[in-house]
Amino acid sequence: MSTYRTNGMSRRGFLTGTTSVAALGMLGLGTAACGSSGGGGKATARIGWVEPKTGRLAAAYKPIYVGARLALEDLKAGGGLLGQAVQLMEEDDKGSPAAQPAVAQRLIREEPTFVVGPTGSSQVLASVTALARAKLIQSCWGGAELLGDGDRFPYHYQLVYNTTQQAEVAARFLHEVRGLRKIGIIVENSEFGTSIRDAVVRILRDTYSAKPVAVEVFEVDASDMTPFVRNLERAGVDGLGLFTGQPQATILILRAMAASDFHPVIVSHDLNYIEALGEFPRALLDGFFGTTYRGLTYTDAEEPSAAVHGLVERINKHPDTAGLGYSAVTSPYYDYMLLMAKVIEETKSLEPAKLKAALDKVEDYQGVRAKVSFTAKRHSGIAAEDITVGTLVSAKEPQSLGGVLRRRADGM
Amino acid sequence: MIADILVAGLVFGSLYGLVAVGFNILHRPTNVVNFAQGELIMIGAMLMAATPIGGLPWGIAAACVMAVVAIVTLAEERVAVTPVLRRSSHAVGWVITTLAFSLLLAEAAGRLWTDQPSTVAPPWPLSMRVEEVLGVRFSSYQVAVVVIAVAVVALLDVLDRSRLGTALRAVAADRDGARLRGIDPAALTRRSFLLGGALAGLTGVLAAPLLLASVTMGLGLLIKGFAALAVGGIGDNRGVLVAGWVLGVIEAAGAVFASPGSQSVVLFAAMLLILLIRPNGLRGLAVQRHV
Amino acid sequence: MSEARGTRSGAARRAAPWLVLVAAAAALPLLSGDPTITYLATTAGIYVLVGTGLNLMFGYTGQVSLGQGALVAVGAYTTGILMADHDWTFWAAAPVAVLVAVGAGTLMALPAFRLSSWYIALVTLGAAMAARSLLVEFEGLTGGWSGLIGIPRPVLGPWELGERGVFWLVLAVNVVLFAMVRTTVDSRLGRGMMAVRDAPEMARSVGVAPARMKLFAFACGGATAGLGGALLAVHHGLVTPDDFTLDFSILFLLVVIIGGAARLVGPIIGTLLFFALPELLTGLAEWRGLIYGAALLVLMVYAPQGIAGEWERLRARRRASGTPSDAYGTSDVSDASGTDVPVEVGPPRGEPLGVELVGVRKSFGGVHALQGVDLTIEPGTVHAIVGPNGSGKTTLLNVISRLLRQDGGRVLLGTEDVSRATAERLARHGVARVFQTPRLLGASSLRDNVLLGAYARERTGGTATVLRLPWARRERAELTEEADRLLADLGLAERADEEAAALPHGEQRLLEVARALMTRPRLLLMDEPAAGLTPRELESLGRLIRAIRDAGTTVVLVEHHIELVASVADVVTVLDRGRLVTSGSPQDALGDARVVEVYLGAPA
Repeated sequence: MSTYRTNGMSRRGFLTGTTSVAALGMLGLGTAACGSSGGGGKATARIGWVEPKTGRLAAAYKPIYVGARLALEDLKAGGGLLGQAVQLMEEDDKGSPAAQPAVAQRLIREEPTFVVGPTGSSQVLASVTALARAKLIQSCWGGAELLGDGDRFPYHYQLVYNTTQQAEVAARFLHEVRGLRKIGIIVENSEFGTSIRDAVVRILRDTYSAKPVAVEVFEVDASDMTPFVRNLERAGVDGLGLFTGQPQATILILRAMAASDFHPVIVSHDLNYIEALGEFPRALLDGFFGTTYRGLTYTDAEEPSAAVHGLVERINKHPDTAGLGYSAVTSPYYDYMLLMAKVIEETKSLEPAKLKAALDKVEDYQGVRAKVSFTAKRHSGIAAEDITVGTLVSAKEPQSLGGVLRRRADGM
Repeated sequence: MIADILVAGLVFGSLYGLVAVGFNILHRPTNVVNFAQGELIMIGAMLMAATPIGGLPWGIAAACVMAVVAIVTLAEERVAVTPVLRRSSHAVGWVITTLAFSLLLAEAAGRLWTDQPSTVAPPWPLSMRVEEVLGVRFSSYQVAVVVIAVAVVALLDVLDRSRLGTALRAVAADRDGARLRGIDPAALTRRSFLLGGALAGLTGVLAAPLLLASVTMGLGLLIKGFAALAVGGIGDNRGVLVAGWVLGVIEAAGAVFASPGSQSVVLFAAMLLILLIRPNGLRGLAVQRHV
Repeated sequence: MSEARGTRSGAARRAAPWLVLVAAAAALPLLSGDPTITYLATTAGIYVLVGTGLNLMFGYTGQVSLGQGALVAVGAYTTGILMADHDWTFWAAAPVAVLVAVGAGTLMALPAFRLSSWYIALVTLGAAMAARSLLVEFEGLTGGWSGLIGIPRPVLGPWELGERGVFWLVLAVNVVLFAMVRTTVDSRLGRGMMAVRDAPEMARSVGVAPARMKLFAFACGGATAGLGGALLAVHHGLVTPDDFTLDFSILFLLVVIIGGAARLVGPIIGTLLFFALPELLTGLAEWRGLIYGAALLVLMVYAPQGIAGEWERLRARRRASGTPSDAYGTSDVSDASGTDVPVEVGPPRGEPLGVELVGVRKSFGGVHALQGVDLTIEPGTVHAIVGPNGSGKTTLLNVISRLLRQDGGRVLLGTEDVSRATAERLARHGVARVFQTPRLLGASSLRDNVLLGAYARERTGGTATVLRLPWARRERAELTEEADRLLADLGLAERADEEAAALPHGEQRLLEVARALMTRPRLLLMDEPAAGLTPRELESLGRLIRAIRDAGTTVVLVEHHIELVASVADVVTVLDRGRLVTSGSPQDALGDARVVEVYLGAPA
């Protein structure tokens, strides 16, 4: 149950990180000593790939890369990129922000055509900053608005909705669609949590001239959520934005709510359905929604596209998915890989500079999840109208194709 | 409000206290503070949540978990503690080896289980359902956790007064001297690790319904356990349990009254303050040695 | 401490490998041309820097810090804020960062005055966590979770340093720091640090104030961490809270211990290994974590003193097996100590000191160790204090030497009332102490142990020592000569360079005496010096005590060995259960009926 981990060091990675801080980059030493790495010649097209292979995030992040692996299979089956064999340069970042500069150094030397990953807000910020001068095309799973700023990071392309877009949708759903007026916010104390909190507050103020009635921030390793939930309840919250990357925090919050029969409408940013949710009363789960992509939702009248159907089937079959199909399908990397393949075919080039020029002109590219457009300035590509809200309990419906897709909330 | 803080403080404080009691048991014969304690507890909770053991009747399941974790802890003693102490009893190599063992446990857990948190139902007839008595809201399971923590400490007190306890004190004071008096420090160390491991397993079992079992739960408990240990006084079981409660209450109060960023600062400041006033722990039992 | 003999002739030869190493490191970025290598080498250099500081704190002074990463964060953020937000130059910002980090380190040390080492470890761990939350909490200053970006590189005149420039800067800082630390640990300061680590009470008895020493160590650790942080900030160009996690803090302790605590090269080896070990495991992909843990474990089990420690041990063993000197060396030494060569004891620093106790009381819990003792010890005498076990002899000695504070009564030293003085201040008055069980710097050479005795005498200040100014070197040479003379007199000259811990018990006691004499004491307090000595050694001890007195030092002797007491003491005081039984000449006191009763017939 992880979309993005917003905090690399919270409950996890005590020692894991210790090793990673230095360890990672050091992988470079040996290869560098050998002189030429990664096959040397121009016969292969290299793709940089940043994924935690070790450490405690390794298992959790695996599903996130399933889509990209499927796209890679397609590329290879289709004869590679521009007829050149595709070579994957996999880098283990252990899910640690501190490891990113070293990983970045290694990527720079490998001169890949483009880079996939890393995943996780903090990891992404560290990685993109470290790669900023390298002119390597990169797309990560990180929602910070800054990451979609084409002036700031001209080579990073964001294929996920950013926190502002997410906050807009969440606020619209609670305030406009459901007509709730006592909106509360509860977020984790992290880069992601604090930035989406600020975004929701700003949007409520600017668009709806409203103010949240309660704002709660909890430490990522808080063992008891009761006080925060009690505060929300006391403020009479009827609509709640719940934003955390820690699944246990979500469960503990729901538990505190169940204990006092407090059932507000919740918009979360994570719609993975995990076993632990089974303990909660239906009334509570029925009010649990989450932001998601229009392409991954269905209604009674509207089926997802055939492409989505096909992808979901393949995701479900892939061994790495491990029951986290929702994470796998919402991941940006499948769309990113296909988009890169298309751009490379069109420009007939593997030169980052030429690819960048082409990417900056992408308009209404139809990804499986949403439409994507970029300009030189705006690298936050997801079309606003393709961000929507889904229901959690629909994970149990047959139309969800094994719990991967979600029913779109009424009115969205 | 105050009642809520006290309930949460006592319940989670009991867990922190139990973690610290585990440190104590392992520390006494070896002078080692076990950095792997958090991961041992995690293993206990995960065994309950994610293996067939969890399907057994609660009592049997808990006993199995305690046995398994005790064996893992004994393995730690064999590979990570005794070899280091044998080579040099004053070296600090154990910091690294217990950390390394903790890394091994975490890696193994990451390999076995995903990071999905799992819930564990409390044993019948206890439940997590919140009751309200005289305006205080708590569940029967929360009461049970506090009672078990107190019982564990009381039991250890009894054990402490037995011959085993005396022998342990002798070993703690002077490992070589104890040997001369016919006490086998190695056997005692093994027994302590089995006991400490069983307690870690029990702590995991107890924590699972409250904190959710997940492969990431170890670090938080380790750190809070450290804090309870420092405040309560190394070697003082009653002291660390009380310290756990104090810290639990401060933490719960911090969640209500302090901003999130300042919570750990509040906790740290409280810890420092207590330590400065009572440098040998809350009850100040530590013996001062002289020339 | 094999590096401890840095004197003239061999210096150049010993420095050669270092010069080669530094030259190789400096040439690295030029040779490889690969920015990754430069990047990694810079990072490694910064780790070595911080590790070296922690080595001073932990390795030499015994202060465990799990919060070093927080101090690095303080340095990095200070630099970041000053350079990115206030356009300071690196050269102005770095010193401020160091100062702020020293402040933070000192703050972290405050609990160290009252707490023992592992409590401090837990406190520093808490400090690291609290510091990290503060980084986020003061968002306006620190940029919150996003941190500070756009920290410029240092500018040197018209040039902005590139990646290589920063690397060379780090290297240069390391070389300077290494030299400074090397001088420090080989000086009065270093010996004081190790005394605090190995035997705090002995440290106080030679005039080292443990609290100040710990503070100094934390300040050093803070300074290097702050400097490391400053360099890290300009190296990365950004600082975020995620850079300074808990494991980042623990990393430094790991590096120091793996490399070898209290070895100068420890942090260097540790860091290199830390960078190299994962490299060796590259091919193992997903199993790397497990194997990494296992490797750490095995390494620590087989090399508990770290790599450098293990290397020294192996070398020592090879040396020992190479030369047969050890076997005959031992007998040779005991021969020497048994010869009739008179021990030349240097003149005390002043007139012999007398002691006067007035109604001194001391109790521990319910046990009354001293119940109102009045005692006058005349200057220039050997004054023995005897009594059965538990009679309060050692407590009396501890009260005189101020290691214990009496509950009531007064203590006068000469004419000065020292009832409230501390042990370390007393040492500066010329009071020395020989402990019942030898308290030595086990891992240091005999010479260093003796030199520690001169702690309170040395005039050279810290700065002069670290900079190796001429007068500092002169004083050092003189003291070394004096220490060698003392060792020679006691028949330990041949082993002057050996580890004190390797000495047999009897000679460890002699070494204690040598250290005490090195203070040129006006008052020498000896606690059962005869225990465990052979008859031959006893004889020479008796001669030695008399020689000390004759040179003009008051000797207070707590002793069980009645023959020794009878042969050397001018006055004997008998204590029983915290009370003075009698005091007089040896014949009178030891023959007193009450004394016989105390020893033989007293009800237990």
